[in-house]
Amino acid sequence: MNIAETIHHPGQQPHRWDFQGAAMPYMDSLFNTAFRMARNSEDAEDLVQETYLKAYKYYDKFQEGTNFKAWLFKILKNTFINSYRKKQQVPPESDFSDIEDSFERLVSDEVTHRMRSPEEEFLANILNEDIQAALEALPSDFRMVVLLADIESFSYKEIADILGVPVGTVMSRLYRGRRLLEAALLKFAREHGYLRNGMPSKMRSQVQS
Amino acid sequence: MRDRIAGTSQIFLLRGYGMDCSRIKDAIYLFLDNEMGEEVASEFENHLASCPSCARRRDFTTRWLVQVRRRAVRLCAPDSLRQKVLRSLRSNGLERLSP
Ligand SMILES: [Zn+2]
Repeated sequence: MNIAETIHHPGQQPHRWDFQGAAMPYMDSLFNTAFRMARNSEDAEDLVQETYLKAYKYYDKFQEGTNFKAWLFKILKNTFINSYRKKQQVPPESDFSDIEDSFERLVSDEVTHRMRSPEEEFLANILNEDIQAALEALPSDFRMVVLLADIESFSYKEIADILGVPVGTVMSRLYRGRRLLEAALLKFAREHGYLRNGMPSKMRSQVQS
Repeated sequence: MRDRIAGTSQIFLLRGYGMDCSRIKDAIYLFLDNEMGEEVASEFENHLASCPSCARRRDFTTRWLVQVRRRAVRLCAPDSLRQKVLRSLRSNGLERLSP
């Protein structure tokens, strides 16, 4: 968006004929994120299509040498905020007092403190479905940050650029998002009963392996 | 609370601030994500080396995060979407990729 720079270095300006080769490889990532934010395939497809059209339209505004994937995600995020988020119901604020000490509870629970390693029991018994459900259950601001960091491997700085927030906000959302994720996984573990019984389910570990 | 955590996280970017268990707890993700300055990270590591309960937390957090990253489902865009996007780009002026 620095016009002077574009004039001085016309060779660095991206060419429209580059667009397909540069942008299409990111479609799976964009679709995955769109689906997890919109929670349905139809909206996710619309979001991705809109993202590509906008990206193509503004491709000459993209600055060569900066992160193209992050730029596409920024467009996706803006599209989501502007057109889709309004349609969704805002979930009630989670009670964070409950999540703060989930790890401490795991290692000191009356039911688990006799285990040699409650962490091992827990980690050996996380189900794939639990991971998907725990991600899905995150409030959308936290879900977005966790997806960008843990699924798409963006740096804090890149996430801050994508979301248009300070790096400190990325840190705090990631902190809370991951604590919520941890708490949700531990809650599922309790519901499955292996922490309560102090024994992992044999059947479950067979399915897992 | 959001501001409190953002504030404490930023304090971690300063070296020589001193480490204690509650600060380790607040900044563990900065450490695991390699988003902490090298010198602060080495203070962090010094604390972990001498504090079994923080080390235990670090190990646990690392391991469940790895599982989430490894096992979270990555959806692929349907082929029909790929075709649809290319069609609409072309009708907006995108030329076919020349060989
Ligand atoms: Zn400690």
